[in-house]
Amino acid sequence: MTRADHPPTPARPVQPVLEVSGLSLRLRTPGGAVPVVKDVSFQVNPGQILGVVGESGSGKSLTALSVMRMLPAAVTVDSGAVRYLGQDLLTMPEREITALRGDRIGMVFQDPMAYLNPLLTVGAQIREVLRLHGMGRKAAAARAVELLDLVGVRDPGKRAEDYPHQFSGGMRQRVVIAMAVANNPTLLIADEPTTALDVTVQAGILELLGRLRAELGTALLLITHDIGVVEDVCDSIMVMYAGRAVEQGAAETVLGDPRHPYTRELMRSTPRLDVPVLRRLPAIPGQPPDVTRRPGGCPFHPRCPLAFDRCREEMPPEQDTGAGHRAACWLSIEPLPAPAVSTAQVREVRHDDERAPILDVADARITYGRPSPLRRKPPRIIVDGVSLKAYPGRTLGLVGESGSGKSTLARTIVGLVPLLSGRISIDGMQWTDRDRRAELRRTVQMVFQDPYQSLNPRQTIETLLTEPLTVHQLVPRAGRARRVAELMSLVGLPQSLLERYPYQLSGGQRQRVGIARALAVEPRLIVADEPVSALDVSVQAQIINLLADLRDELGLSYVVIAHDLSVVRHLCEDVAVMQGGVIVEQGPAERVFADPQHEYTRALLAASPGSREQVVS
Amino acid sequence: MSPSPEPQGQLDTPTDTPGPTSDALAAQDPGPAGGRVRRSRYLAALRTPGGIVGMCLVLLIVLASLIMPLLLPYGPYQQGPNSLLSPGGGHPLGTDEVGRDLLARVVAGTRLDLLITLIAVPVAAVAGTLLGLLSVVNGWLGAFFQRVFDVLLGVPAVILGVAVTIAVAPGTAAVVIAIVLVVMPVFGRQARSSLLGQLPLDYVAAAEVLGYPRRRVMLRHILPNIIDVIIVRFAVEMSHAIMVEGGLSVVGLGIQSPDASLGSMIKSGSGYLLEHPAYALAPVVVVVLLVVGYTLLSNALNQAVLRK
Repeated sequence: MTRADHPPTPARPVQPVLEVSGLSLRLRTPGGAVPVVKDVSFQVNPGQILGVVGESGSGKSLTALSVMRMLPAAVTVDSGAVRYLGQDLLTMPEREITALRGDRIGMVFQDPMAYLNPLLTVGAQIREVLRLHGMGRKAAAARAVELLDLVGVRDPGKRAEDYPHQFSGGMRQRVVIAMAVANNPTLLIADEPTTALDVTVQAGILELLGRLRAELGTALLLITHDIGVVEDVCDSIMVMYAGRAVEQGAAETVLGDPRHPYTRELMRSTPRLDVPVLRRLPAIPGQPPDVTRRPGGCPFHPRCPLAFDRCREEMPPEQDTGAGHRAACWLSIEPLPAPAVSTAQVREVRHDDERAPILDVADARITYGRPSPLRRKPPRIIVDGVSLKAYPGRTLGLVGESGSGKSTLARTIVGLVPLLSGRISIDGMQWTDRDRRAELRRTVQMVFQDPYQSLNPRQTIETLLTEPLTVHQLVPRAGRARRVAELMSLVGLPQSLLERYPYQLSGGQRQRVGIARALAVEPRLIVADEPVSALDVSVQAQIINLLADLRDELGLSYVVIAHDLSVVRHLCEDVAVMQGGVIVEQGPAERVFADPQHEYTRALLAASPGSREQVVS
Repeated sequence: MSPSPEPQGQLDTPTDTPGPTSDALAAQDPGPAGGRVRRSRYLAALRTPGGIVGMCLVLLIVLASLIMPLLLPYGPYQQGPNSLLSPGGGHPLGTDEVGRDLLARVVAGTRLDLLITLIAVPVAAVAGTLLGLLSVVNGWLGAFFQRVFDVLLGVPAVILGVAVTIAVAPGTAAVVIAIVLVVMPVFGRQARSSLLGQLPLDYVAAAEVLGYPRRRVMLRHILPNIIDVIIVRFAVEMSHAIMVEGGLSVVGLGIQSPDASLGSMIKSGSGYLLEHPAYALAPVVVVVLLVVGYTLLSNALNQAVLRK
């Protein structure tokens, strides 16, 4: 099956499976009701995959939930219609829509463990869906096994009697999909179905969804924040921003000739594997607006490089550019003017391995817990004999999937987890050397994945940044305020945020605070554990650029842990690929990405969204 | 089926507006300071129906125990000619077996109970919380105190009271010590379980990576993040302490004659339950009102803490 077999705009009109027109949703807040989704219209044709792309607060999930009439209590439908095969879902009696859910319309959510009942076998849960919609006991049992086979669970007859916890994350998501398609639905709604999964697992799930469409003719509404995922599997795309559908149309058209600046900037700011590495990513400034504080006019105007006066005053209507491609920008009638190329310098990489490494890990073995005569089982080995080096002024990327031991290794490098054997030497110092510990603490710092958890919620930004200066007595009391101000401007934060608490900041701002705090002790090596994966796509590029700028400005070295290969390729000169506690491949980034030697590296690269072959083809 | 949470939080996106040009963005509205938010959360809790009733009950009893001695014609130790008078006349609640005014004794007993609990519970709260958090600084000592708390929790209050009165003469001091021993482990376990919820959070790891001293991490970082639960627990344990005092005095291990406490009055009054019911019932009513008041208050605070 290829995309050509499922033209998004068929020659003769067919009845769309799902038709949403003029949908507007409101959120009740203490300050009154605010619009969260405004005037969104789209349709999904039989056997078609529509990808809805957007960042947090774009309204993409609420749009999907409104189709199932499962909106949170605080959100109400303001106007508009949602039609499933011509029937209005919004006005349908509760009994009828309940009958449709799980039967004609299936749904897949982000976290499969939360969706499955831990006390029932997966077979029993699939049978329940079938029985509730009228199938006999024996037929349901047979069909459940058949479904597990269909979604790619090996040995389905036996696995049906297993409980959810006995499945891996990817396999659990397959079980959830089996439940969703159990009754051969005509429409499947998948809300971030692969976000919680590893890349190689994600590729398998996306392939499965494409295959189900081909085999069962199911139409799919796929909600995601990842433009690469959309590119790989979708026939058509709808891009949402601040509650509006800003652009939609056939996938090739929208991605090949985006007519809304947001779509184009989003694509440009997403690091990719198939374009030359630029010194700086073309980042979209700012962050997606909060629902209660959306700017007037076009909601994207404050961040838009092409905005002019009219954009600030008036929301542009959706303009048809032909062949069902619509975009809500005043400039959409013609192709957008070419972007400024100032950032488009290709990065030069220096490889001067003569310099002494700042980090030298030799044959590191790390376990959970120590071996003890009181325990029968030996402790589990997480990292098994890893050796790597990081050089001053450069970035080492540590790539791997969950369970590969990369985060444990990172925590060992910063001294949070002890080594079982081997040696970690940072600028000649080791954690085992008690006299050097204080100095080591100032030499190596860490940037964490979740910028909310890693900042004490009870401290203001000012306190957060002053504390390291006080504890290490780095700056005399009188100079501390100035140093804090300096740190703020170093990471590009306005001084006005100093009085704030972390929860009052956006994700990107919080991550900047986390970086500033690490910089406070003037480290020379920074270990960053997934520094951008918790951030919105349009904010990721800003943080990647900030890290690169700080490295060049302050001569820092980084060890960056990431699961996203395109991020690593963008930020790192050297790469080490980890699998099952060992490094399977390492070397200069260009070499590893251009000519991967190990099978696992090749699999990772092939599975990376946006880079792989069209999975449906 | 339940709606899935949006990965980055659909409805609770952070509060800021995009700025105009650079990567750096000023969030424009000056939000309220976090400390103020927390205080206003507690105030909001006190404005709920349960919070108001609880607050009023406790305040009324406290005020009454402070003001009434000034208004009453008799002192709590002052003996009159008539014993076991029924309520009425010059003695609103009647008199006890040696002719002392019961109202004056209930008021004095309430005051003593409040004094005892207000000394014992804060001491227990501070000691229990700090010992519960001790494992941040020293894992071995922290574990040791948890086992001590296990033992204390396993011994009934009355047995603890007996043990204390062996060492210290029965009386106010013994009751205070007994209450501390009963209540402290509760705070210790509470602090410990809250601590375990905080330890996996990255801000604790960040503090270690930044080389902050352990004691600072415990007091400046973890303690402020668990103080909400400790405050709720405090209100719960105030009512618990009132009941412990009552229990100890009823079995004769508590406040000794001629001093009056609610528990000791229940004990001596219970002998005259049929001919003079007001004797035992009056202190029981005060105990019940105090316990109900503290419980309502702790529930309201708990709701406020959960709502964050």
